[in-house]
Amino acid sequence: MKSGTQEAIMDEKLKEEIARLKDAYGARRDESRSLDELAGGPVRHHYPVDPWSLSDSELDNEMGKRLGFLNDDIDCRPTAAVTSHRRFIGPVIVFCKKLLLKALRPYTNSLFVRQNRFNEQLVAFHLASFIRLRRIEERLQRLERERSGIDDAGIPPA
Amino acid sequence: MTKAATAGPAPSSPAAIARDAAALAQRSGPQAAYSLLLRAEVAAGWRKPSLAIYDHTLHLIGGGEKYGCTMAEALQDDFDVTLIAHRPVTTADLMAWYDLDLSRCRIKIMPLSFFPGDEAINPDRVSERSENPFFAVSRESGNYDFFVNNSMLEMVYPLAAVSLFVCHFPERPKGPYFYADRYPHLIYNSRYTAGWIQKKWGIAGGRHIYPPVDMEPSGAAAPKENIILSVARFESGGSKQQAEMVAAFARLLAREPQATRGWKLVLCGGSASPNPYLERLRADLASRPGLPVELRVNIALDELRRLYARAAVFWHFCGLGQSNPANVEHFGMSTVEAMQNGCLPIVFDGGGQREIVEEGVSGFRFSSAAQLLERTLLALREPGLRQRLGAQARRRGTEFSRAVFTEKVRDLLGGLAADYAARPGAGAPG
Repeated sequence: MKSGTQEAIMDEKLKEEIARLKDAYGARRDESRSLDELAGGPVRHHYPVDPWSLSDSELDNEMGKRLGFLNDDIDCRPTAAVTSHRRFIGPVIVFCKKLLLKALRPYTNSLFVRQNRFNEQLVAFHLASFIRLRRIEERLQRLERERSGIDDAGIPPA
Repeated sequence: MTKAATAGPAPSSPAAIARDAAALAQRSGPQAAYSLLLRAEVAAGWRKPSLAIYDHTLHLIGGGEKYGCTMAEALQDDFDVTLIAHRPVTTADLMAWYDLDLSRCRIKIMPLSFFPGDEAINPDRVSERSENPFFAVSRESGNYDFFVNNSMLEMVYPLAAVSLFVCHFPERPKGPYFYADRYPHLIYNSRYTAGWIQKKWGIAGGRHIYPPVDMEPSGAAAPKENIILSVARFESGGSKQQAEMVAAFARLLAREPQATRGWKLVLCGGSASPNPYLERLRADLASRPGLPVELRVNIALDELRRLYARAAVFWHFCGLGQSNPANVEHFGMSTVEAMQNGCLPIVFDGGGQREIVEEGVSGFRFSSAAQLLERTLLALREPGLRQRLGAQARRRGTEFSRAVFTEKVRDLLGGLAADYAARPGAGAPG
């Protein structure tokens, strides 16, 4: 009887301690911003896609995605703000960098404009090729269906 | 597949558990310590283990979703089960859709800002350039003892002590935010799927559990009628090939008017609205007046049961002429439903269908249009053959019943739960 009571007391203490610890670790866990922190170490997030292993529809998807990335990156002019991490001479460095960039802008702009134009043409060309490929594929599929004998274009003669 | 991160708990004294948790947090982070504490509660017998079943399309009706809900039904007495979804859905909806009892389960809805409003939750939109919208689910998984990812969504990193990945087919290649190999346990729905998991993701092993199919007639078998039935969703891309069925049936009627007299084709299935594929199909049928083909879209379960009971032959074309393995039936639940009702199945020879229909014993498989027409004609001409193979199909269909599924799920999770709750020395789960 006595040992049963002691066990119950110990259980109660354990429950309280576990509840307290859960609150503490739960809060620490909620503060974690990244998966690596939560998982307790570096996690591999991405694997390079091997295009040779993809099916036709997966390739379609992949091509669409990559084309989207190219489209996002057409404008190659530098956009990041000029900064410096140095505490005291930082503002001077930033001023000099800005001055230099401004002085060079007439020359760099002409290059960037040409590059942007080239990028636009390249994306447009890829998009046209993609559409052309899709149309050829649809035609091929239709021909294959007809060849396999289940032609939905009409009823063949008996 | 990785091992579970937590070691066996030892809730012997408050000081010991605090020390163990601190050491684990130091080594493996706060989540590991939290999981240890969860496990200590279960090991002490203070509560049932908690289990979450996640499905990003739980709000939609489908075979994969039914799989997860049937798991929930099987486990709700031994686990504290939560179903995690992203769009509003209730247990009452799920119970009505799949004829299940989920009264002891609860649902947690987690909206994702990456997919606002009613926008489809399409993981293909996620790339290495974007954030991982499913990180929120990973975080949530850490609140449970057991986490079952029934979404075949490889972008959810599991943080529970015991995690299971249910794969109905590896839909995407190994790419951005790929964590499927972080699950200690894999469940696959067919050997066809298992083959592709190994080929596409390099993951082998796991447990094979066929989906639950429960379309067995409650009373005596009804007399069969001259109906060729197809039950498949009217996919907007036409992957279930109902248009090809209409063309094949028309061809059959034109070639063999005598043998096909009195037969009709009934195409049954669910459809989202609007559906351009279904509209094209309707237009095609309108252009062929007199063709005995009926469309039954979004019909009630009772009506579907009656159709299965009356149909003599069942057609399933999914996979015919497809080069993409994802477009081949990964299992084929409707084929089993038809078989449980004694329909003679004539199905495409590919994917999971090969594992269901035993050629010439419980049905026929075809790999070309010529074979399809030849086998269908044989079935139409010989009522005795239809009856014999239909009886074998009925026998075969019972091997995929809900009872078989439930037993396998309880066996797997029961074993894992016993390991999980064991005191030190019994070994960590995973």
